[in-house]
Amino acid sequence: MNPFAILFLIRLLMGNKAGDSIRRRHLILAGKQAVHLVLAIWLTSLGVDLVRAAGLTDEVVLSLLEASWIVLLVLLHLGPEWLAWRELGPRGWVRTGRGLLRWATAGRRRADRTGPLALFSTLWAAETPDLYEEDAGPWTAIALVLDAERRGEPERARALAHWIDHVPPGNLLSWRLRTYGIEVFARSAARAGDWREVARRVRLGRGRGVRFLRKVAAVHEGKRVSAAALWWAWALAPGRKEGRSWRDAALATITPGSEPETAREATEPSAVPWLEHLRLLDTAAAGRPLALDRVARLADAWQEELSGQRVAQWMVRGLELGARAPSEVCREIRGQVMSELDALVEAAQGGWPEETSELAAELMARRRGLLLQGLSRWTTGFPSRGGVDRPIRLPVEEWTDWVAFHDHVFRVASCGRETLQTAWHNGLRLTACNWPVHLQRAHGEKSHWAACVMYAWAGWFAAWAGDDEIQRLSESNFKIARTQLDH
Amino acid sequence: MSAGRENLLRRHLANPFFVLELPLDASREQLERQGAKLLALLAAQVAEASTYPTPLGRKERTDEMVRAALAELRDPDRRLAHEWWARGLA
Repeated sequence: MNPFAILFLIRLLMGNKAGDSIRRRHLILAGKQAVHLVLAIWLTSLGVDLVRAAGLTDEVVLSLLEASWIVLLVLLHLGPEWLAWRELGPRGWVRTGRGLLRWATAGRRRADRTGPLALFSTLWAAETPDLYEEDAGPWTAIALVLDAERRGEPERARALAHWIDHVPPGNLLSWRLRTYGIEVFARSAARAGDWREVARRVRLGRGRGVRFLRKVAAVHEGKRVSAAALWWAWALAPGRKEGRSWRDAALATITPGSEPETAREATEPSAVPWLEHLRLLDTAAAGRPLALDRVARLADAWQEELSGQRVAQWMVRGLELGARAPSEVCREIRGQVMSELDALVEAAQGGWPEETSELAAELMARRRGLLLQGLSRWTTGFPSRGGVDRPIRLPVEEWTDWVAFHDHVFRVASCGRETLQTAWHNGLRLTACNWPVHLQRAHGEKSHWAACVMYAWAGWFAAWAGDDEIQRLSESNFKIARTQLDH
Repeated sequence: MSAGRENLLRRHLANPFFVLELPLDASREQLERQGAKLLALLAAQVAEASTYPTPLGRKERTDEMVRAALAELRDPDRRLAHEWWARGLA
């Protein structure tokens, strides 16, 4: 019996045993396979007839042709999606591409059915779709970041991409998303020349395109990659025309004796606080990654320049110039330095060093206060008596807000374990645990993927905080949501 | 927020001492002379006057920037603040 007919029957049987949505999906998939099978057999017999009509009677050729239906079946299964992402989209054939994608994604789990169309349109359609009407799924999460980048909002894009470092294991990202979705995601960062971000994004991906970008990013990060490996990765990758300049730039970096630019930038803090201050402002204004400990070191360097003795010297200079209120000017300068350091701290990531100057400690205390205060924006919605005290918005709105919350919590964490423990017991635990519960209650299948990520994070965070109750609850909720995700 | 940081950076790069390419100990006469010279060069569209050096590379200079820089440095209090920032970057 034909193996595909067996598969068809299995799908029908599986559908009968499961719930309505699974049955519907399996029926659609079985129907699609039947269409593919009929098309493959028809095309094969057409080919055989044509060859026979042309007078060719070689038995070997004819038997090879007769067996070609299997190849055709595979092509019909994988081809439409490949064609849409690799050829039609980049060439601007958006309607045809969307049509093929709609056919290719029919019958898949919800998270991988509507999302690819949203991402495809965000990338190539003249008008970006209303992403807030979409499901809170992984494709939409990527589309939101690319949309922010396209609108020239790097800060917002950075915040929206914060989730990519914290995707829990458990097949939450399908192989199609890891191949097509992550590749376009990483390519966008590569076009902006942000190779650190490319390295971050490709960690989630797979496939030839992702492999090439991973190698180029590795070169820019100062890792050892051979020129031959880079050439091979480029030759096998899709989008070779665009990738040529990235390959050449990476090959130029590989040349002996040269040091990657990114590594150089990170290891050369200036000893002069003025110049370092300007450099860090430049880094932050450009949206490049900025390490928090570098800002702390800058604050340490300012400590001396803003000390009493230096200020007194400067007040003397003020009197020479005929300044009316030199002490007031000196106070203003200190205020300006502190507010600019606050802006740098806001943009920076990472941990704060333990031993710092008085000025850096003051900066840290200000930051800690602001961050703890800022958490109330999210925690007030989830009161201690349980439940939720605010309306649950559209799934994608809730997702973007949760990503901002997630980002904020990591900032709180950079202030130290004690600060985070305080925050955890002051409302953070209930917010982390209850948010996905209410999101799922309000939006069901449109929010299963987002809820999975949120539960996993809450469980991980509760384990870190030593809160067994929340950890158990979140892990159990994650398992349930994970099962629902496949419906 | 990123726009806010861009503004902070732009303010530093538009320090009047950079815009006017003046030494920190420049006298009032030097200041006026340099301002008038730059305004004349900009009016004559001399290419060299259209940019000025900063610690982060050359930036565009306009006559409005020159006038604003002159006004800032004429005020001793404002000059004290600009001099403090510029001396570390000069």
